[in-house]
Amino acid sequence: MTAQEANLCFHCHLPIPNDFNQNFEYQGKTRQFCCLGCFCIAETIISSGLDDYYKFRTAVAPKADELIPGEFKVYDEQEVLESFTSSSSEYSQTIELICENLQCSACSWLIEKQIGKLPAVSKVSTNVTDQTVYLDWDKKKSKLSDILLKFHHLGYPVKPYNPEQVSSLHQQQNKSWLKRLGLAGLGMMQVMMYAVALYIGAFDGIDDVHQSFLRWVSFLVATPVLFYSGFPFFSNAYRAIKTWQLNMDVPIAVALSLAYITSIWATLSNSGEIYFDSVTMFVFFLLIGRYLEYQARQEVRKQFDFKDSLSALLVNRIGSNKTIKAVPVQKVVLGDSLLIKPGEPIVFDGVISAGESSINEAMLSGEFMPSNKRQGDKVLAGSINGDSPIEVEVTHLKEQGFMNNLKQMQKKALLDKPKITLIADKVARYFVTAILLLAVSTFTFWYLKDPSQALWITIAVLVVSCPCALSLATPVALACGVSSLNHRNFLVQDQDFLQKLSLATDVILDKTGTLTKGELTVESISNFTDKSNQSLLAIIASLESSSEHPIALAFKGYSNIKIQAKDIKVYPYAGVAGNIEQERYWFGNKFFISDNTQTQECLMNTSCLYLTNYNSILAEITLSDKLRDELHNSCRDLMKAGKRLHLLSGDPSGQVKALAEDLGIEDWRNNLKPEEKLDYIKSLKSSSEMANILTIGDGVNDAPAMAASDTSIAMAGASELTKVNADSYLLSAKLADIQFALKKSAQTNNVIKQNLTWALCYNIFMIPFAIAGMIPPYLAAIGMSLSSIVVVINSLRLNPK
Amino acid sequence: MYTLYLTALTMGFIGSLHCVGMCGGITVAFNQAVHQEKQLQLSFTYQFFRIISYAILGALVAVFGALFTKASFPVLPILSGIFMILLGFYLVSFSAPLLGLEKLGHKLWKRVQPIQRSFLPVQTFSQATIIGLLWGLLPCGLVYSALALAVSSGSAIEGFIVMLCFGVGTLPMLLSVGMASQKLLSFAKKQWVKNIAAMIFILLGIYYIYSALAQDHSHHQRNGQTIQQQDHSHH
Repeated sequence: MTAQEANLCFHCHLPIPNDFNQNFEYQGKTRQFCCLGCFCIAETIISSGLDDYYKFRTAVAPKADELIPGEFKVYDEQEVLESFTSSSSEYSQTIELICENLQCSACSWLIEKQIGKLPAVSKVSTNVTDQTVYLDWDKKKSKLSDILLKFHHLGYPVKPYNPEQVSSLHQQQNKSWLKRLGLAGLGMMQVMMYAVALYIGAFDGIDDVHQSFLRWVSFLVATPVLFYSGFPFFSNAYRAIKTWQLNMDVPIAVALSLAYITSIWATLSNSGEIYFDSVTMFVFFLLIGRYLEYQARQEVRKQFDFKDSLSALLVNRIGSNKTIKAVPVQKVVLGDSLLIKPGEPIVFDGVISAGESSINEAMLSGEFMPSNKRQGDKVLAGSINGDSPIEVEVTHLKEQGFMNNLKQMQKKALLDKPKITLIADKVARYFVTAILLLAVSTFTFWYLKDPSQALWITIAVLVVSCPCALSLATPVALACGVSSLNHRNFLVQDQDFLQKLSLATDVILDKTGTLTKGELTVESISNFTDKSNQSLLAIIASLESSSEHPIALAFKGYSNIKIQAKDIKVYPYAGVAGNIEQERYWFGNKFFISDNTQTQECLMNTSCLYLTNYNSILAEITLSDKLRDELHNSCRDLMKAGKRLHLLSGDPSGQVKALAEDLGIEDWRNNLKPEEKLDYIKSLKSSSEMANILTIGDGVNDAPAMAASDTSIAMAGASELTKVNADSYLLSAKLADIQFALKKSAQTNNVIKQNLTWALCYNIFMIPFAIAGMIPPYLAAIGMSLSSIVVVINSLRLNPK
Repeated sequence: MYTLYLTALTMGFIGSLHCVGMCGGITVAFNQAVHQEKQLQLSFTYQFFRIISYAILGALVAVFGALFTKASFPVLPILSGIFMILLGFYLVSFSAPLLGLEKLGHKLWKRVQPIQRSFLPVQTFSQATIIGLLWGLLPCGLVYSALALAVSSGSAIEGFIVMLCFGVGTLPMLLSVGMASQKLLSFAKKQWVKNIAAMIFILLGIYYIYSALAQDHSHHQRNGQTIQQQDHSHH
């Protein structure tokens, strides 16, 4: 007796109806079933490991097979796995997953807790903002499909991350939000209209038939609103209950269901009160809150995308005739020679063909000290060139891997930051438990005292105590605050940024590119040779041709194709040296020149730059950097706001002092190396517990400082490394906007406080009345909606006018 | 009222022809781990609580149905009739309408299955109890049709009894599985057996709808005679 015989049910051996098609794979064959009952039983038997039953029947060679949806199994194939994951060691693998249902910090808490428990998983971190999950697991201990299945069972289906999928997913989500909102809005208006008619009828007397009719129509309209528009609340509540992690959606779902069911009861039995109007209003206002929250997340996500496009990588390819051309990474082929300027990331694995530099491999190895590499040494994609330009011959094309790496670096840095918002959710969990207990005791009390009242009073308690205003308080305010910053071209990368910004006590300012426009121009040149000014400037231009520093840019316009420097070495924040036609030239500040050449020190002063050969000064050049507009006003405003300003610059010249005095900044340092800036910030922090540091800067030398400070703002045009560390980007490059952001941050914090106070007071104040049975459910619903509206309107004050 | 019980019993008895292959296997599959003497006892426990679970479902739907007893139109008896006719079609492999319901039931079952799985394999009586109670939720067109009958019973207790009758009706067929499964299977597979079963259901359904409408009519004419009395007068 074999079940494989055509058209017989695998389980019961009865014929399979023609119009029925239900099957699954078992032991490599498609098994068909006659009905869902048989299907379910077979599924249960097999998945419980009781499939001996079938073996015994069919005598097929035994081999237990797990029921993994086919699509997951694909991910166990080596090639597929490699295309999605990166391996950090022999067995440990990392994958980025996209998870649609990941919507709140409670979800992320749950996933991190449940998935983190698996023995094979070494690290799991979630990002609610762009709904992604990072997973580190040991591929020796577990197959990826098993872990994905676990996600599935938790109620969070995941897929490997794919940028196109993400954006189409978000479009879909947005559409479905709008549909839910639209339906809820329309439904609410309709049901409210009927409700008004019913209320008026209740006073003026209404025909029983008409009343019954209005109730039925309300029921018909409210039903889709509850089940379609309100679906997110139910599914969240269901997930929460399933895993015993209460969230705000649980009392919401309970209150909605109770109000709905009792209304149906009232409609059917033509007695009591109906609350369809409360139900629809409840759903609509809650949805508005959720949608705003969702929109805020989308805004932040867009910034990520924007940043991705900002960092779309160009590399400098050296052509056959030594011409340098910027080409996109995709165009690079094996064997190409690339020029890597100081501070630039190395995009491809390769071998240094010319030059010598210190290479920072922190991204790859975690080793912070850069290592010196010279001609013939290997460099790895993902490391960052330190002080000198190098030429690299590409030996391995792996741009994809590096780009991912860079993105993952940024995101991981974010994920590791503490999350303020999570605290609100933790509080909410206790709150919710308390509410549910309260509701049960209220019901018990009233059931014993007056059974006919018990249900209504319990509903009133649930509705009144619903912490939706509480749960809206923080996210809505943050969303509005962030969106008003966006209007000023302020990109916020870290959600906590806005909350932390106004706490800053000390503001660290960089000079070049931050207080000044960062566009240096040659103000004057004193020529000590018989060459023309133009040709001297051309020599400097060729020495600086491989540097990204603002000083180098000042000479860009003077370059001459006939003058080409070789063996260029860049000394960061000091100067450059190079050979032109067998003669070595140095260009830099006083200290650099006197350290490296035999020229007379007494002839030089600190505010100028000098071009020299080994023995004598050839030219003295004065550069000037235009100050940003409104600089004085902005600094004065910051100081008025009680911030202590610090001017830290790598620039050794006296300009720093002059500028600091001009602006009235008492704490200033010039000639600082990156690590000295870092030390300065550390000592500032250790000097006072209250110190909260905001660093504003650009350029490579600010990166460690930004990472060490509490908040950081990068000005437009910041280089790659800085981007990894800054919390926000000011694209408008207007200093006045920083003052604006500080104000906004203070305002936002105020609004959050007001919202929380209001919501808590409302709940705590109203609950006793509800328990006492003094608030009918419809008033409770109106009150609850109103309290949410108050929170939303209060938050909207933060929006740009 | 006895009509209702009798109909339910018949439904269970004839309908279980269809499930003999399906539900019969379960006991065998789940009891593998224990020796034969206990197997039989476990089977009885499991079967008993399966019937109880039907009865509980019956009581629940009957409570819902009771809301409609004051309705001016006999919605529920007609619904029962329609379901019986659908069940008839279902038995002769025209399953589309009931399949829709089964699919809904399947969604529920997917939630129940993991719970149930934790009690497998059946080794103790408490496990058998829980498995039996949960089995009532298995998606099954036959059970749904019986529930449609219970909806019209008027009260929770009546609904409970109706479904109890239905469950008892399924017992003989399912308990005999262990002993004579091959014979029964081949009997159940015979097309003429099914055709007759289907015919019985369709006729029952038509009779139900007819009597409900007639009842409604006479209800209006005679003003106040109850359904139960009318049913009695037919016997």
